[in-house]
Amino acid sequence: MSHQKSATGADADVPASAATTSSTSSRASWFTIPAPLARVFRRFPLVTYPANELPVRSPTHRHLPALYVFASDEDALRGWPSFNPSCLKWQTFLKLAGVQVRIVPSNNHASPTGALPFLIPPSAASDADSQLPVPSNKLERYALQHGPNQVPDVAGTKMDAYQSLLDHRIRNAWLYALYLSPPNSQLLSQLYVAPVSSSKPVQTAVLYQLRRAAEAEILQSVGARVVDSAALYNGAEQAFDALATALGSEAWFFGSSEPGLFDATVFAYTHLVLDETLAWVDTRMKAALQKFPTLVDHRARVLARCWPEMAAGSV
Amino acid sequence: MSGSDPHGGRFPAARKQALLFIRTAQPGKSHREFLVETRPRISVTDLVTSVKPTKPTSLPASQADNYIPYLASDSFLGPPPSPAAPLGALPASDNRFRQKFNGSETSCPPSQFRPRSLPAIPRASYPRRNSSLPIPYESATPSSAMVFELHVWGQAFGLPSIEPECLAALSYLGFAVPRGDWTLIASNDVSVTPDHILPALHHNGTWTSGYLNIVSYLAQHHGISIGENVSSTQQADTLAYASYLSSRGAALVAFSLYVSPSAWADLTRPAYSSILPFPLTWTVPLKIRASAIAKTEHLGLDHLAADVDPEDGSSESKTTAPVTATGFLRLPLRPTVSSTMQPEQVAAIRLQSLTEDFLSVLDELRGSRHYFFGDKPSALDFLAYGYLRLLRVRTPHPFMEKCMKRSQAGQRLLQFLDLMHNTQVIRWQEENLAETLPWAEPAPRGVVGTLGQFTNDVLENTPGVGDTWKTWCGEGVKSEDQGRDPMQVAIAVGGAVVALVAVGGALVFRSLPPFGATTQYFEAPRRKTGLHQFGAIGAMFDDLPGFDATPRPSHGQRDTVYQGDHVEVAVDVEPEGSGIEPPHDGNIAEVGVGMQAGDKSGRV
Repeated sequence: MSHQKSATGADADVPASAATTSSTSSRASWFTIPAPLARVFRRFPLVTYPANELPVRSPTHRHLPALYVFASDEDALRGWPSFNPSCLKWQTFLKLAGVQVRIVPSNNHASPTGALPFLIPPSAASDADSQLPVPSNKLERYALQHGPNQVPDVAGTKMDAYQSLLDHRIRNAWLYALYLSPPNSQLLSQLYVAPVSSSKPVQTAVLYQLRRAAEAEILQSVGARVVDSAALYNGAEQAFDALATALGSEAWFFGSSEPGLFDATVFAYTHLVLDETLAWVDTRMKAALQKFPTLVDHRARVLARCWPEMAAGSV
Repeated sequence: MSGSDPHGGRFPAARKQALLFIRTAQPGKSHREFLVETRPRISVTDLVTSVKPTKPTSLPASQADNYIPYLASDSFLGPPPSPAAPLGALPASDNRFRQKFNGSETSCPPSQFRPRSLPAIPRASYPRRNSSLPIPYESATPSSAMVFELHVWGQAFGLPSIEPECLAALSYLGFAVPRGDWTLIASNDVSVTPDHILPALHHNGTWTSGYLNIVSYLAQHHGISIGENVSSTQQADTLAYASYLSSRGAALVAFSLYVSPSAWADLTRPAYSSILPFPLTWTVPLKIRASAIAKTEHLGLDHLAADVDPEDGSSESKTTAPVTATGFLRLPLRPTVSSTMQPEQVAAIRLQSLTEDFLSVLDELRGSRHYFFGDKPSALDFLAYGYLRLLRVRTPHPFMEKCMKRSQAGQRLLQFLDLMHNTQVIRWQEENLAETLPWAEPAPRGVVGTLGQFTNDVLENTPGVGDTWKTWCGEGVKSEDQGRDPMQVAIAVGGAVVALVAVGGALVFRSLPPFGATTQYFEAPRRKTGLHQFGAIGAMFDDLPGFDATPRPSHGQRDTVYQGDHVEVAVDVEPEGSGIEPPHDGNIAEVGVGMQAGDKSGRV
């Protein structure tokens, strides 16, 4: 101790670097491990384990923008289609535009706007704006700016009119088929309820809320007092008929040479209605759609373009 | 017929109806020509007048399927969903009926009947420009059962109906159906139809709701249609644009007439008040407004309806006291720019782009043609007319009207509205609504019906009870799909009981004194009169004899404040001024204390 004191006292007014070197040298002289012990410790580590693998769901491409959608973990990892029509619409559109994204399974509570999908651009520390999430109503602009493919722009105002067919008639039938039709409740639980919680009371409450919300949506859209399934399915069939007429014998809607946003919107419904991997029990909507082979072919074309591996598997 | 029925006369009425239907639907003829042609041979009118509309469900399912008129709501434009069932497909038990058909009653061979599906009906065209063409059956007065009854919302803003689809439907019928064949009933009551939607067409016991459904019902069952040779593209366009109108157009109409507080207070609400019977004016318009606000929600315009009551909005800034409820002074609010703006102005930019989009979509479809699909009006023209005409209604802040006048598309559509009137496509005239439309009196609802609906509306709006009540009344998912399970009843009853208990408990709890707190009473000062109420100076004068208003008690009092076994404490209270007067300010009562201790008998 006395030696240390004298050493630090002697070095009191020399520069700090010199002081540290002298103190370490003095400490080294004091705390040198005795040679036999050092020999023992030199044998460590006895075994070095390999590094843990990353969790399966962890992203492989962190530099890609992340699209948050409703999807199962496995599907998200493979980048397969979401099971939610509005998520699938934007997922498809981004694919058509050629924007590479990674899919993150999520739910409404994660979204800043309260609705999926939303996209988080790859973060660049210099640019604060780049870290703002992109909500779904701005995804079209984002895709057009960042995608290499030229997606045909809105083809006239007819799209607005036909869009309302999808937003009302077909969406109402979809809501009924998935949320309210009793035979399909198994599918509903599998897609939306089971991922929320494994507790039975929570699942019951969530299921009840989902159903009431779907019912309220339909009633508000139809303006009626009673949800009439037959009328809804008929409305959807007429809408499919009108869409098939609008498509005609063309490959894509409204005579464009490349698929656009409207094709993605139609595909989002037709794909999910026709999807074999979803366990539909009440297949009235599917039957209504299958009466129009042009729409079925259209779905196959979009699928082949966006998910060639799935199209190959299903055919 | 019913006398000889081996089934005990259970079905004959329905069969008569079926018979009538089949006859009118004979292929190759419109129902009128056919009626005229067959009148001498079969007594159709007799049949019709004797037929009471019976629910087809009173038939066994298999037969009902073959007989009930094919409902228009099943399919609008596409081919009918099920293939035509030839008569041979009738159940075997019905041989007797078929023989009757083949026998003396009618000369129509059964092969011409198409009971279920009617693809071969041609779309008849009627003389439209004027009634110079002879309509032979008009002289043979059509019996009341043959008349189409159109139920709508009533007149407002100088228009025959306050609701766009009703306006479209009555204009369409006015154009397509000869005047004697239909009546217009301003029933103002959605509960007349099973679907609870107006407009609704009532004919032969069949209700059809909604504009498109009415149009296709008329086309498929009565050959009444105005567009011949409609291409499939036009049909698809009609469906798409009708859907667009009833979503975007309805949202804009809802904003302009219902959401906007000034228009609601000055225009729409009074209009509803004038067409509804008394207590319903309190419930029905509010319900309609709530659903209108919900319609504008997806456009992001619903928040502009925040100050629902115009009274609320104005009272906040003008008439309230300058002190808040807790006693603090309220600073006068300096009006900000946004608070002085009308909701129409707040949303102006957004609303303008929405409106212009809407108008340009319609205008591009119409192009340079007279009507949407060429030179002849189609069903879509009337629907577009209904929405555009209501958008043109002059509101206190006529935003939509300005918007239409400002944009080119809007101007062309205004010309379209004028064109519809000028070419007599719209048959009614605003100056003469009463005579240009075949109005009929609605069936009176009666006091009981009105009060019943009022009670229903009130119950639906009661918080906590409303949803259960709606479900109980059959609202929501149709019961054939969902099956009302007993658990629901149990939950409803249990919920009601729990709610009652909770309310009762809350009342009891509130009536209890607060736990653990000392009870304090604040009482007003006894002496109300006298000058001391004016503060210290007043109190000085108060002692002057001339100003003393209170009569003084003449003698002292003695109170026993404590009495134990051996101790008794008594207090003598002497009135002020009766003893020696110390210098005091008048607020101090002079108290003399006489204390007794020890034995009751021994006084100190």
